[in-house]
Amino acid sequence: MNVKRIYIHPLPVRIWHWSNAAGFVLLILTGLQIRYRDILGLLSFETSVRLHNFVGIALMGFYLLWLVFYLTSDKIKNYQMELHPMKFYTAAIKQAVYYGYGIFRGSANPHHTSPYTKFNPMQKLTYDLIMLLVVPIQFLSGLLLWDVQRFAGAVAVFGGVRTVDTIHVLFFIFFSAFLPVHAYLATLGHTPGAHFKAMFTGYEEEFEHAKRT
Amino acid sequence: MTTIKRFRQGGRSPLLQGVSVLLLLAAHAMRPDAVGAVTASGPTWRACLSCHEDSALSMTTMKGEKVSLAVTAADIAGSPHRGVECRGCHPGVKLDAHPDGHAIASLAEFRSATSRACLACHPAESLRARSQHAAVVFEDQQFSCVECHGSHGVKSVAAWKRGFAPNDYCLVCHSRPLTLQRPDGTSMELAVDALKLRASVHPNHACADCHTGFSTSSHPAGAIGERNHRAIAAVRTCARCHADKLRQAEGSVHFTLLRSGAKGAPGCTDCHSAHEVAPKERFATLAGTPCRACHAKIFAAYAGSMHGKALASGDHFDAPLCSDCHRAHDVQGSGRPELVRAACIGCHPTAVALHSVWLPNATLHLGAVSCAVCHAPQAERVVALRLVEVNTGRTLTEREVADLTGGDVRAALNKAGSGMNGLDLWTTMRRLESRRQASAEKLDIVGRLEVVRGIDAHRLAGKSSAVRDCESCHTRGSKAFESVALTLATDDGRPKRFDASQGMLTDAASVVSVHGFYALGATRHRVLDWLLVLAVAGGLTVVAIHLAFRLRAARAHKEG
Repeated sequence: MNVKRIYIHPLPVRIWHWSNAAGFVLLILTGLQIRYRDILGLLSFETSVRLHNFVGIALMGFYLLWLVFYLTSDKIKNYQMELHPMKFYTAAIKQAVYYGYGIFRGSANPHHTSPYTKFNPMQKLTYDLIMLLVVPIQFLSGLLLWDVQRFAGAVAVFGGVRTVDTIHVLFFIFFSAFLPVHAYLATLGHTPGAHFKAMFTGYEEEFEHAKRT
Repeated sequence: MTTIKRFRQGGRSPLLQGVSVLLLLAAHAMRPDAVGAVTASGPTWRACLSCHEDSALSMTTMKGEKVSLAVTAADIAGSPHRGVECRGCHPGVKLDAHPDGHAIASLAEFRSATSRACLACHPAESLRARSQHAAVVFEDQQFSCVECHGSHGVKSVAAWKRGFAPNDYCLVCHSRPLTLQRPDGTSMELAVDALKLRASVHPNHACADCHTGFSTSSHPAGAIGERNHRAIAAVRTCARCHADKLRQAEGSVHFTLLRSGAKGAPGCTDCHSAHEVAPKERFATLAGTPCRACHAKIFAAYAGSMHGKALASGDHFDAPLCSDCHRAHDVQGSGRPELVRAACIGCHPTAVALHSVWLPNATLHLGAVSCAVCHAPQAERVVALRLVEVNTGRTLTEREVADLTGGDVRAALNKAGSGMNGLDLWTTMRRLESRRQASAEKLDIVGRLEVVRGIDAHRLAGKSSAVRDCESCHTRGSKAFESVALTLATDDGRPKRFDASQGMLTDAASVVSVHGFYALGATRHRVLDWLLVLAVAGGLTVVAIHLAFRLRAARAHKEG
């Protein structure tokens, strides 16, 4: 069986990924602590808020690094969507069928990884939405809540502090549900730890019948 | 009192020098046969003076009061009564049995009795024609004739008046305990303490400066209006010199109440007094602040607060008094919270910076939470929802809402009292908005955490006792959010609260109805709580099912 080691994840991306992962875990935990002080008692409210604010602002910085990296690199092709609808839907359905059926039958992953196609069509759609819509909105709503008075005008435009908070919480719910699913999907490599290892080393191992997320 | 003393000291009027003698003789006039027509012709009083010119002649009443019996020829000669014989006023005196040893009970009794002798020639009917005269002399029986007109040295009224400085003339009557009853049953104090008047900031004012139309020759007999009318009249009087203060006071809660006819509403004189106006500095003392007279309970709460104690200690003369927060003339109550907050920040300009050291969103907190909520830690709290104009931030008053709803605010607020919910409040606000003029500002609902009772806002504790743990508010079930009320400012400046449902802070409609008020954790949506559970559980379920199929497939692959 041929094994190809392909350099998929450059160092800046790996640093960003794991920082982002740790940050999001912290944001979710502190967010839970802030919101459910009556249930959780891991940290004081004050500490939770301070930590949440700190991590949130740090992640905004990391997000900017990620953005600058991809905007100045040809690797941005990884996020470029297939603009032909029929091609996209065909590929996406094939991928969904693989995850929902073929994977159990040992079928080959219809997607083949390369430095410029590291995401399959479903991943590409998901991460485009997350990185270009959900994360910015979450950061923006978090920023407004961080200093409601300073951003009072923007808060009012979005319908008031409760509306902004509701948006922030809705995406918090999304991330809380997404994170374990994302971690599980990362186990769908040729071994359960293959993608985790790749995100540390930068090299994905491409098998003839390799499976990936 | 002063006037009387001057008389006794031989001041400008000598009238009272002979009063006592007449009083003694008036004792005889009290006898039933004493009062009769004075028909004597020719003065025979020199015989009487043979004894009574002795300046040392006196007697003592049964109460121990020493009464001079001296009469001078000069007094009588200068009197309009110089043609009247002594017996004309003392008909009961019999020279063969004089003195007769008749005991005088008291000076006051004799002063009163002298009027009987005078009335023989000056009929009561003619005296009653002058209302003030009648009121003082006859109705209240406070004065006897001799007290004003003298006894033996009686002068013509015109000559008598000329002997007074204008204020002293007024004080002849008004230095006495005088009251008049109003039609509404209340009484009006007419007495003036001459000493305190002279010690006031108006020592050189003539009575007529304020009491226009009154003089030694004019005493308009207008009816005493009800209390508020008198207070408003007094305001107009003060405003002749203090127009700037009137402008400040026009929008105050006190004047709003005064104009609305509220009983007990204060005008200028209720705080400053009418005749004992103290210097401004007096009002900056605990003892001198006039607010305590009407707001005794609140003042007591304040006196026990850190502010009151600091001021009382004498070490902090800059500690605030009532007017430092509520203002002196443009007095405002807590119905307009922005003014109270401004008052706190006014004295504590570093408050925002100091809170920012430990409190995230400090400015927001200081706007959405009244200072007393944390600094009066024992107080019961309420989420006060207010209807405000979007652009101006001005809060609607109860009166405005009443005007828009035809008077019945509580009915207009739909389920108020039984727990109006967020949609009730929202639709009510929209209804009110539609009834306003088209040009009127859009309305919004703004929430603020406050103490329920105003008196608690005055019980401010020291900084070390203030609430500082975030959990006391930012926890579901926090007591701080147990009560919710639509709050409207009343005419007297107090907030009037209409109970609302606590659930309106957490239900789905709250995103619209109370979109401007939110406390992390404490007022969170229940719907979102369930959504979080469903989303996480759903994600994990999909993962679990997929994993199960993977394991089954892997097992099948091994076996097969």
